[in-house]
Order: sequence, then structure tokens, then C-alpha cells
Amino acid sequence: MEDSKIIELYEERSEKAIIETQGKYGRMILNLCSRILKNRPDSEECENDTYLGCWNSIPPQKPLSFKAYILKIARNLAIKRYEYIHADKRDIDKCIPYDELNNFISNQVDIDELLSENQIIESLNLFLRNLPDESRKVFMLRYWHFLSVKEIMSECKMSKSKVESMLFRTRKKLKDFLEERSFYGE
Amino acid sequence: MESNIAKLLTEVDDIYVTETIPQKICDEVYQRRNLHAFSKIAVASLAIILSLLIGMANPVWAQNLPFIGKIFEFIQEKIDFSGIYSYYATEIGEATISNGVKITLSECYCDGLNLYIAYEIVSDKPFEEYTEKDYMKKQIDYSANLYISFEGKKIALDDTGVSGLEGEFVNKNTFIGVETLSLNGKAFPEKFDLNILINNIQLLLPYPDNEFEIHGTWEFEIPMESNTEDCQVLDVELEVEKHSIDRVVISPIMITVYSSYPDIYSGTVDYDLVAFSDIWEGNAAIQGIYDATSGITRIPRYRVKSQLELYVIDSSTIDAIGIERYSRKEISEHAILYTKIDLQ
Repeated sequence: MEDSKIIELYEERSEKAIIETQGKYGRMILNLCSRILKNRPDSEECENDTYLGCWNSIPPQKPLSFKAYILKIARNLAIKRYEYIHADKRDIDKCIPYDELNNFISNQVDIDELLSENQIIESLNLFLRNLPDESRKVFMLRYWHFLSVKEIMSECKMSKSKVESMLFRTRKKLKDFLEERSFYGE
Repeated sequence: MESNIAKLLTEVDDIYVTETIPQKICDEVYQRRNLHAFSKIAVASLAIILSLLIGMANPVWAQNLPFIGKIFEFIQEKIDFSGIYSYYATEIGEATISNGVKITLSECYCDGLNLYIAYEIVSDKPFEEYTEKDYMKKQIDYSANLYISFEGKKIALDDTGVSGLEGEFVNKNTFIGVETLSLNGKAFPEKFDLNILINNIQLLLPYPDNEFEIHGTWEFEIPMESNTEDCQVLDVELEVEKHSIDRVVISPIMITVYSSYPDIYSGTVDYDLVAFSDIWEGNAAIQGIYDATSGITRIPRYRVKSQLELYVIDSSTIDAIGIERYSRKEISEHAILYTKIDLQ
């Protein structure tokens, strides 16, 4: 079923909307949550919460890209759960890309003091827009979709060193970019 | 605010999310392949391949191809140091403009001993308008301050004996080429900044004019990472009469042989290390840097399939007609030292 039809089902408050969403995007959502949480029961719970989030927000929301919309809900929920689990060290498994990016940035610059959340998102969009296509893909696969380096090698048909090198350089670019905007921003 | 980059990344524009969804996951979701869609992809792919092939064969078409990020792919089979750079290199895409000339560092790869950089040089004015003289079409030289910096140290880079960039003019305004830099056989640090300050680029003219210089200031500072995991280090440590082959480092692009010898020749004149391989006719070595008691010899990786034979000779005993003219048998008869290396 086309995404626009699924959105119509949500607007009509038809429960078939959830069945269709699960049929079309269920594996994708579960896959994304599993990459963050490394835990099947928590991931399945996040998947279910994603459908609920969709149900509660459409309407009034009418997403232009339903696929991106639902993945964003799933990602947010999985990250919240990840933070909850790790706040009390309830689990020793780490989500490497999540920690890699946050540790990297937070060690370098205190962006909170200088930029609002919206400003940071705008900056991230600008940063991604200016990245070469290949670098953007590798960066997003690692830090948005949480793929391992090995999976990125297979996905992009690149050597390990190439993937790691590209990630290293893009992280450095992001650090410089955010620092620059923090120092010279409003 | 508890901002956190990984979390905030969730909210970036939809396009960046959907365009990067891993294909593997898409395949899992859409298990039933749509034949119509597949044939459309096949037709589109064929069109892209055809346009690239035509572009490579036809310079008029080629001038419209986007080279940034794909220079190695375009040129790697055409240069002396051929190799599969594109598989290992990462895109940089940093550009600087000065005096109507834009220089872009397109891609790079550091194998731990050598740093390979792909450049694009685009001039507002066609290159042939700078000089009426016939300049070299496969090379552009430049004058630059090249060094790496790390942990507060600076080390100058060596251009490995090749003058400037090896490549080609893809149209009247654009040259693409490759530069190989090294630390004279020393290893690159794991992480470093590459610093390049170019003062002029030079169209190479026949002697005695030598070159035509286009002046400007093109400066780059690029964070780099050395990747040695695709390299193999073989400690040979074979010695005969104080001549030794110490080590061989095999990277995807280059084989580097480290050797030592007694300081009996007062320099490098009479020492030679000759390399024969299972697929290359004649001496496979392309470069060597030899000081009084030690040296390195470079062999392009593509010239060796799985077996490399190294001969150390005192060329004063053999060199009457030029070492390249001697057969493997003749070289072996004069060898002070010989070893065979099996590449995995």
C-alpha cells in the first residue's frame, strides 16, 4: 500500500493503518531499534511504541515522507530507551556509534551553551548538505542507521580502512563545523 | 538543554534519512522484487555505464564528467604507478581558488608509508592560453611547502622522485592528476594533519625553457589517518657480506623493500636492488632512494602477482651496458644477495 493511503487510514482512525504500517515497515523499524538496543524484547517494545506514536500524532501531523517520519519516531524511542537502560548501567552492551559520536563532540565543545536545539539541527542539515555524497552516506549509515563498519563495507563496497578513514574525517569536519558555528554564532 | 548530537541527528531533513536507508534492510522489507522497477534500474545503469565509457573515450564528453571523488577511478589505470587506489581512497573534496585557478584535493589514501593524493586543477582561462609553447600533457609540476604535523611536530614530505602530478588534461581548463608523497621510507603516524601550501603550478616545457609558472596561493590543512591494516610487513633479515634485505612492506599499491649495505661505495652509485616478479618482464622496481648505508626500493604492487625475487648487486661489476638490459639469469650470476618472497 502506498504511504499516502496509509496516512489516510490514520486520519480515518482505522486500525488497519497500524497493520499496514507493520506490514510495510515493521522489519525496518525492528532492525533499526535492534541496532541501538541490541536486545530483542526492548526492540519489539519500541516497535510497538512506534505504531502508537504514529497513531497519536497523525492527525494532526501529515508527514511528507512517511518512511522517514516513522523511522524518526522509532529512532527517538530506541535512543530514549537506550539512555534509560544505560543511566543505571542496567546493561553492559554499548551502542558504539551512539557513544562514539557523543563522546567525540562533547569532549570538544559545549554546544548547549551557545546554540539552541533548532540551531543545532539546522547546522546538522547544512553540514550534511555540504558533505560529498559518499561521505554523507557513510556518516548516516553509521550514526543514523547505526550500521557496523563491516556492514557499511558491504553496503558501500568499500574497504575497512576507507570506511574508517571517511568516518574519522567526517567526525573531524563536524567538530570543526560546530565549533566554528558556536564561536561565531549568535 | 540536554543536547546530544546522536539524538539530535534524528531530526535532520527527511531526505538524508530516506536516501541512506541500507539496501540490505530495504531488500528484507521488499522481498518481492518488482520486475518492472528492476528493468528500469537496469536500463538506467546501462545508460550510466555507456555515458562513462563514451566520456572516457571522448574528451568533449569527458569535460562534463564530475571528477571530484572519482579521480583515482578515472586515472588509476593510466599512470605509471597504477593501482586500485579508488578501493582504498577516501574523498576529501577540499578546494582553494587563487588567481583564477581552483585546486581541489579530491581523494587520498595513506598506506602507512606512502600518501597518495588525487588533485583536480581547474583554470578559468584555458591552459593553452598561458603559453604558446607545447607543454607536457601528462604532468603538471608545482612548487609547494608540504609537510605533516602531529603532536606538535612537523615533518617535511618527499615527492618520491616524481615531479608534481602525473595525470592528464581532461579538457582545455582541467587537469587531473595523482601525487605520491612519503617520509622517505619512515612510517606515517596513525593520525596527522596534511599541510600543503602551493605557491605556483607549472606547465612543463621542453628544455631550456623548463616551465611556465602560474602563481597563486593554495593552502590546505587536511586531517588524515594512516591505514596499515591492508599492509603486510615481512621481516626478511637476510644478510650476506654485510649486505642485507631487512624488511618488505606490501601495501595494496606499493611494495617497499628496505635494505642495508656496508658504506664501501661512498654513496649510491654502485649499489642496486633489482626486483623480478612472476608477471612483470624486466626489473619491476620503479624507484629507489639510497643513502650511504641503507636504502628503500619501491615496486608498484600491480607488477607482482604472488612471487617476488630480489637481487642485490654491485652494479660496477655489471653495469657496462645498463642494468636494465641484463637478463634475470645474468643478474642472478652477479648477485651478492638473493631472496624470494611469496606474497599472500
